[in-house]
Amino acid sequence: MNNALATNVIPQPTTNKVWVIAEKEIKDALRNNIFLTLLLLMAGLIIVSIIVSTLVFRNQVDQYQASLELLKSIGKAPTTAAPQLFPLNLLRGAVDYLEIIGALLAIVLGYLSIAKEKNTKTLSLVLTRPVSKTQIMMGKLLGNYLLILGLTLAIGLVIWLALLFIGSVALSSLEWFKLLLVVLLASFYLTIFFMLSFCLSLTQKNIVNGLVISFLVWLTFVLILPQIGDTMDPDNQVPGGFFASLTLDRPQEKELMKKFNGYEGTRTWLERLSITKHFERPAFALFGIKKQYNEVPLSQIMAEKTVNFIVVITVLVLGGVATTLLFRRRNDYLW
Amino acid sequence: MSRGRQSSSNKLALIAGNDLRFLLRDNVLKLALGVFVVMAIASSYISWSSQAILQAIYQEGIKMIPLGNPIPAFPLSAAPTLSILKNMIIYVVLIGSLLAIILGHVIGTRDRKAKTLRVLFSRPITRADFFFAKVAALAGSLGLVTLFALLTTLVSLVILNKTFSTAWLGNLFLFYLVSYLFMIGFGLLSLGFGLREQRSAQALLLPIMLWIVVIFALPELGSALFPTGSLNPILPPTDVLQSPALQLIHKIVYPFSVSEQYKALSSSLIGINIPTDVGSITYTHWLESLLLVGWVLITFSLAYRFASKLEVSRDSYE
Repeated sequence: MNNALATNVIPQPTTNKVWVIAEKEIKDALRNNIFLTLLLLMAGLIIVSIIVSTLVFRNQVDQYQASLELLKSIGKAPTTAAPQLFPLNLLRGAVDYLEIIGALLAIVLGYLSIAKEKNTKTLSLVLTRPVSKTQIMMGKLLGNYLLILGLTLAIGLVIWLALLFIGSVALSSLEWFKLLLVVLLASFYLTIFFMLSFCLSLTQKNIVNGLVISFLVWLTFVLILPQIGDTMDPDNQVPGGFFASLTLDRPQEKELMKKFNGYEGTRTWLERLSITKHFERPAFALFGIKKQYNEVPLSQIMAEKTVNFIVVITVLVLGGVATTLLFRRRNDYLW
Repeated sequence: MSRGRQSSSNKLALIAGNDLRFLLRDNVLKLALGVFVVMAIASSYISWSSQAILQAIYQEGIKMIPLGNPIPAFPLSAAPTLSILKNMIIYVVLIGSLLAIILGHVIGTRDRKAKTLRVLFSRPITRADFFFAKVAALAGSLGLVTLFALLTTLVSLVILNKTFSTAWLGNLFLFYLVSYLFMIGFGLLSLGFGLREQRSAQALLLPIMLWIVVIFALPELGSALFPTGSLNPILPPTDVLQSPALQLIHKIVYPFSVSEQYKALSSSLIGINIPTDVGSITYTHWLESLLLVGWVLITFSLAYRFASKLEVSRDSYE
């Protein structure tokens, strides 16, 4: 009995306390089946996207074969090369899902992390123990980051299995490495949205408002800003292309648009404001979804996309610092 | 009998009124109103400014056409007035339906969170009374924000286009009616899960999961649209469905793809429709409207079923 009391009195090292809180976050999410639910959802979506991409590719091959047979029958040689399969090219839908749905689910995770404390009123109880606000926050961030990392790693595994069994393709070691890089970057990207929702739910008197504002930020940075380039692209305003309707060729188009540098600059600048674009660009390059990156050495891709990696990591670090500071300042945890 | 009915409608008004007052007091409704108004303004302004810059590019572009060659007309000169609403379709699909989910969630879980459910049901009210009151609160709050968006669009159109015509006014009204039907389906789903689930996390996650399936997974499975592709207000041509396997999946899935039905119907209402003949069935606007009404009826029935099993004897909520 005395020993037990003594154990309670001995202060635990900071890392232990942080880990205990992180562990509780992970256990709560596992107990609530949140992790399993999110994983099943993302896995289902990614499997659907790989099935569709595979069918589309097989259709391209079938059409090419049919054209080839036709050309052979009339004694002509094919003028275009056969469609070539780069397995990671099939992951366009998977990247889309990670950047849109993944971000949305990270927001829900951030909201639920605060909602749980509010509903059970446990945070004020935890604060009566010898544990600082910074330790609580670090524990919560660590726990949820590990949860998100686990989720993205599991998604990576699902991708590998889906490519193997649906696409009938095995990944090379280089492709594996590229997949892991994107998984790691995705975990950073999703954690940014987790922290956003966490912060907003924390600061709002009614936490549902925090969720609504987070959705609004998500809409702006994940959907509107990345799409605005396309929406404002003159060629996308008219079926068949705007410049084609004016009978202008590519060099004339470039010449003409030089007079509208400000407009074009604004489009590019707006796109760069979106964190989603900074995740999407390296992911598309590493997976070769942007065709010009197929068969380009990894070092060259990384050199070209370093800025995007730096932006994502910087926003992640700044977000972590801001979340911790915000949490330390608040005193009304009884809600 | 008459007194009983009156008393039932009074109870309904009382519960629904309380929910609406709560939404107003906690700023949820004000925030939703603000979001809808911003959506309506952003949608109109982005399209209008793109068209204006296109006009400027056109003026410069025609100077580059060699003398003697015919000068083509400005491609957007025949664009319908309501076409500047094309971005609104996507905002309704994405943020409008999400906001409907939040409204449904707040209305559905409020009493349990406040631990007033047991007290409420100690009064002579039935689960059906309670459910219809909740639906009235949801329909009222969503109706209010939709009405505000409609008025904002109307003002934006008059200011930006400097025209007003009863010809497009009817279509504008129909556009928002169709949008309302699409959104309230999600609100009803969320309300139902809010009444059924004992945990806030599940009550919110389950309707969001269904939202993801309807908005992204079904269009991808049925029409081979990438998630970002389905953000396009104009449905892309379906020539990719030349694959027999994809064509088969499409025939099965497309009737259930409510977001595609909504996009096709609403884009035709604002005059930017590109007809998509998908093979065995040609989806007329009547059929699309029927499928949309079916969506509301199904979600209503589901929510009613959940409400009929509402646990009223316990106040615990996590």
